[in-house]
Amino acid sequence: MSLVRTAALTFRYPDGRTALAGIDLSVSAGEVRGVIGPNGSGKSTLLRILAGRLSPTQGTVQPGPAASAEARRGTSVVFDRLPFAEALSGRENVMHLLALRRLDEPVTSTSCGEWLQRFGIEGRADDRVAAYSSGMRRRLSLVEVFAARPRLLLLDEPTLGLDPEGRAVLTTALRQVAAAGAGVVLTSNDPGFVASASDRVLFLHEGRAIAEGRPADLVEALEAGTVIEVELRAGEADHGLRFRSDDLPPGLMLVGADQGSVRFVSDQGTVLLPALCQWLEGRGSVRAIHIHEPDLADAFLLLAGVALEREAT
Amino acid sequence: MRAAVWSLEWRIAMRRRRLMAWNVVVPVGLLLPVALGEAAAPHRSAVYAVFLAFFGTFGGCIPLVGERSNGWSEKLVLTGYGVSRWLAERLLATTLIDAVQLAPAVALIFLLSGSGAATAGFVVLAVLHALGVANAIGSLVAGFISSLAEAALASAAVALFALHFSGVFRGATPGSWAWQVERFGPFRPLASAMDSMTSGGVSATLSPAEWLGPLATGAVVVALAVVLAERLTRPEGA
Repeated sequence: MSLVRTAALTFRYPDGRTALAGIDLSVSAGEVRGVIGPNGSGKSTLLRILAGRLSPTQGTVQPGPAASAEARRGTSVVFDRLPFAEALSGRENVMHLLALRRLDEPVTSTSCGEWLQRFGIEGRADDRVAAYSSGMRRRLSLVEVFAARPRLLLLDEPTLGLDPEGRAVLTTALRQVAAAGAGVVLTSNDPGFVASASDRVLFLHEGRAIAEGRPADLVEALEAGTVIEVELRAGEADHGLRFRSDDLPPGLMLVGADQGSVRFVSDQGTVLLPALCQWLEGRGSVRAIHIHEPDLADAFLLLAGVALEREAT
Repeated sequence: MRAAVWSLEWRIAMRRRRLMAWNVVVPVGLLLPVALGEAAAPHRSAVYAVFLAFFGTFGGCIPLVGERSNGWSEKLVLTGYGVSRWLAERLLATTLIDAVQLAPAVALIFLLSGSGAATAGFVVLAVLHALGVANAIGSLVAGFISSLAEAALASAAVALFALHFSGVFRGATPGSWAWQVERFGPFRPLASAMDSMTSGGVSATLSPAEWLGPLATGAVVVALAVVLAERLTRPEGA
């Protein structure tokens, strides 16, 4: 059963910028759907539309959590901002939010305690939220979401500020609520988390869906060979300018560069490593080289690169 | 059905003890010297009315701008709680919280004025009405303003405008267009109550018929604020 479905969803800001273009997305009961994309790719806008906070410029959202108060009560949302009643304790924040959902108090009290325990903040639950760290605030926001027993969860960057233990708890919790019949849409810049938590993943790039499928299928479909990640010494900058792919040794492809590292894909395993090292001379000071099988992040970078090339031609 | 927003607002207010204490002490500290001073009754009356109206409009506007900006108001309505109901409960709660905070100051200036018990009921009703209208004006302004500094300026300007047309600074000539407007001025009961109080109960209170205009204007302002409440739940840039 589909909990929410979009068809040819397009959203343009009043200044004419297109945030989303032609997005088809369906989330069924029991399904965790991940959305990956760089900053500004339209992930948060998509979530805002699914939450009924924005109306699409074109296309449809059905049934839409904004369709009724009942639908809204059954939908739990966490956006990137984490506002709380700072003067109240964590427990009071959760309980008041559940009261707004008009859930029965005995149910919410038990549910609240259970989730505070699971996310490891039971010991500080009666402290004022003003004294919480950013990680604890993130955990509290997740307690609010899960304690409400929603049918549809919409989570925007839920792992921001979470430590590895918190991520593990979140992944397990998502699996558990999905098994109980809830649908989940989560956006993230963390491909490792999305791969472990999601049944299906949508890659968003500049507002367009460039790929969609099971995480393992998306990686396998690339037939990308081996990923060689070159870590550069601190202070190296302008990699985008110096690491152009046009004069790379044959068999190597540049798939991404950021402030700290450059990623290549080799279709001949590590055989091309000496040629790559030779090519790197004069282009940057190498600190370390990591070799690994492609993951969801590599899949996204490759597909985004292909999408960009397609647009350029 | 429980009034969840009402109880949330009260709990937050009671937990912010320092702010609560300041909101009791500052009105007393500002109004007591005026009550003890030798200013003419109409001047004292105007100072009291302006202070009470500003207390309500600032208190109604500035927190809402902050809560809109940080996403708190959006978070509350995302629970499925009706937007209009959220604002209506919030307005009622903040109005009564303002009244509780102002009660010592108003009681002191009333006692120092030497007015009798007959005026007390009128003063209480007029202050409650004024605080409700002022909070609603603050909510309305907050829906159109995104920065705290602009919110303070705009709510002060709108409150002064409303005070002026309620005859707080100078009563209009009977029969003039300004007099017709003044009959509907939202702060007219407040102006009349302050006049009555500072004159030691000599000035007449409003008749039930004279209450109708300000009550109607107040109802319109509150209704507009509630109808436009959705604007208060959309964070800037979201």
